[in-house]
Amino acid sequence: MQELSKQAIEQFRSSLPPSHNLEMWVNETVLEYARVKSMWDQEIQAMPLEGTLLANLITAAGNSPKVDYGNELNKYEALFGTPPDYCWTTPVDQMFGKSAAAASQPATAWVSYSKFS
Amino acid sequence: MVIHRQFELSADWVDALKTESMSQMGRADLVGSDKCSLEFGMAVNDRGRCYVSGPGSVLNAYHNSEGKLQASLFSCTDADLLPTRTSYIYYKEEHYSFLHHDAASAHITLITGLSDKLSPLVLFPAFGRATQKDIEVLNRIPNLRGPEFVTQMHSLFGARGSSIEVPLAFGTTIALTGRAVAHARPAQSQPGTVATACYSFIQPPANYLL
Repeated sequence: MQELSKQAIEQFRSSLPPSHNLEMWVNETVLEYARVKSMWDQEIQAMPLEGTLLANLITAAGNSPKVDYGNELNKYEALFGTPPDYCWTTPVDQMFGKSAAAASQPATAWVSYSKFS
Repeated sequence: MVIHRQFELSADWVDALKTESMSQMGRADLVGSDKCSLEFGMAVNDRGRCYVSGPGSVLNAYHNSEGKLQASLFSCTDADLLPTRTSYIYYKEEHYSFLHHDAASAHITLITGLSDKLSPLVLFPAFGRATQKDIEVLNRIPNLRGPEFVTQMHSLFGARGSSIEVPLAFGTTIALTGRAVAHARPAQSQPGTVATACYSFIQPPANYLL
């Protein structure tokens, strides 16, 4: 799997609509890229759903899409202590559909995809 | 595992963050819920009320530089740590963040005070994971100021409800293991602003898992 370059991250960032969640989405997808790379390096077959943030970053980084490469995603929780999150499971179109135009109503997006910290 | 540490942030960062927090206030959105909920990992979350804004360029820069360095030093491990989410939180009078564990992508959280007279952060190191019964008990506790909240928690949960109060002065940062250790910011007696910056391990060390 390709190392993640700054150029790939910038390409990925520029593909997302403006939102005050933007940096959170970029950062957390970069985290999940490191995790999927770790899984692939261990030959654990795991792919995010098509159209998700992580699937888009995998493509932006220059990797060939691996269709139906996901039957070992159940190993994720044992490795990382949490189930796969929205980066893996929620297509970007749905994220923005749910949040009713995240660019103009960022609070809705924030509540949907973040928790108090 | 050290669960919290306080340090002074440089005046340059504090001034820049305070200025940016004021400019971002107009973009902040009211978020909150009157009920706790049980998240995966038996974590408590959701209850609280405050305004939240995403970061501007200053907080993003802090998150990726000084904050990342402080979080790495605090972690006391060689495990790779990445910045995840960061925000300004604006509390009006009586606003609060109830007992909660931080998000799964927040193994370490830095909280910086950007105003005076903030209510202290209250840590509950022995609370551990929550059960559905705990959630029901927590949801019966009204929104209280610090001393009353601490008393209620100890009364209802015994040793699990024992707490540590950590003052959050202007310009001070608290680093904490926010995913593993339940914590709260009880009701503010007056408005206040903090900046939060969260970090996640790629491969969490065992003692950082909730």
